Amino acid sequence: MTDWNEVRALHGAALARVVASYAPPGPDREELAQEVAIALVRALERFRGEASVKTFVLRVAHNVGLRHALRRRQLPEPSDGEVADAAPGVLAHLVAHADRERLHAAVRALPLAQRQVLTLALEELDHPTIAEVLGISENAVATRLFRAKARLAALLEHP
Amino acid sequence: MIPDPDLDALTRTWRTPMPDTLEFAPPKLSHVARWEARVGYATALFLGTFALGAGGDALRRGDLPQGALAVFAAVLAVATGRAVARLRARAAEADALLTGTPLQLLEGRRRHLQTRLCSIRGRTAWAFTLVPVGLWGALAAAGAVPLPLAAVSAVGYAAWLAGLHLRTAPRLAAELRRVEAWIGELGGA
Repeated sequence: MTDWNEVRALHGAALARVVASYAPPGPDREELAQEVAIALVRALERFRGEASVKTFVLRVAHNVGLRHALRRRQLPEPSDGEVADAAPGVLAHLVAHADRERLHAAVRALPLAQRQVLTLALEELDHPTIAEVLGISENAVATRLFRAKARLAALLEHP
Repeated sequence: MIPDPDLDALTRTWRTPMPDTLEFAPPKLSHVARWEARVGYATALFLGTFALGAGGDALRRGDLPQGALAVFAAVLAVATGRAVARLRARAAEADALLTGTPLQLLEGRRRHLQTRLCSIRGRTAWAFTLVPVGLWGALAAAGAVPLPLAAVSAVGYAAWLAGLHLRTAPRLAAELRRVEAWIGELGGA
């Protein structure tokens, strides 16, 4: 059986990044981290190896993060609509001039649907796995990822 | 997969090592209780000293009722000090219990912990409001405190307390909610 300590050792960094995509630094992030940890301790008892451990823990973490974000949301969710496409390489250039916290803040400003797809892609999950984690089609993954990158470029350029 | 330089650059920055926020650290009640304990100590020390001085004066003058009331107020001040000391000790004890408790034992300790947390809550309220108000009332009734001084200090104390409560009370309440959530989640409630 997979236990929490093992999960934390192998996927702790990825989980911390998921947490950072839902909560700003400070007590809010600490609280979400605790919620994720508790949810995983409980969820791991039910894990039967239907998916890889990484996929499973990221799914649990995102579900907890989503609940947390919906509970805490005070501002309206930004629309999932169109943003001018960024030319290839523009985002890479902008990211090269942004530190980690600024990137986290920009990711947190993305609509939830785009944020989830992007953060899972950043954990190097392929499109079919992201689709499985989020329960959406691969086409939806590609579309959301494309939009997320365009919006992220806009957010990094004009914070 | 088609190479994506944007995503690669994002991933590099995204994966910059960050502090481990997933440490299974329970809430620190003793940290929150520290400020409350300091206020309690300061109040007890100030009022206790004042009451003893006033009581001594009254007894020297042969005013036994006023002296007895002032001494009673001093005893209450000592009790306040003791209450806040216990408040902090209990908060530290609850921290230690949460920190050192294996998950499977939490269910068994749940009721015990909840009792302790209720006790901490009760003592905080008691130490913060009832005792100082009681002390000051007793001293003013005994005539040991001149009315203008009693009024000014009461207003000042109330303002200070309100400020402090605004700062610490929501935090204490949030921590207590977190502890209860912990107990509920881990204890399988």
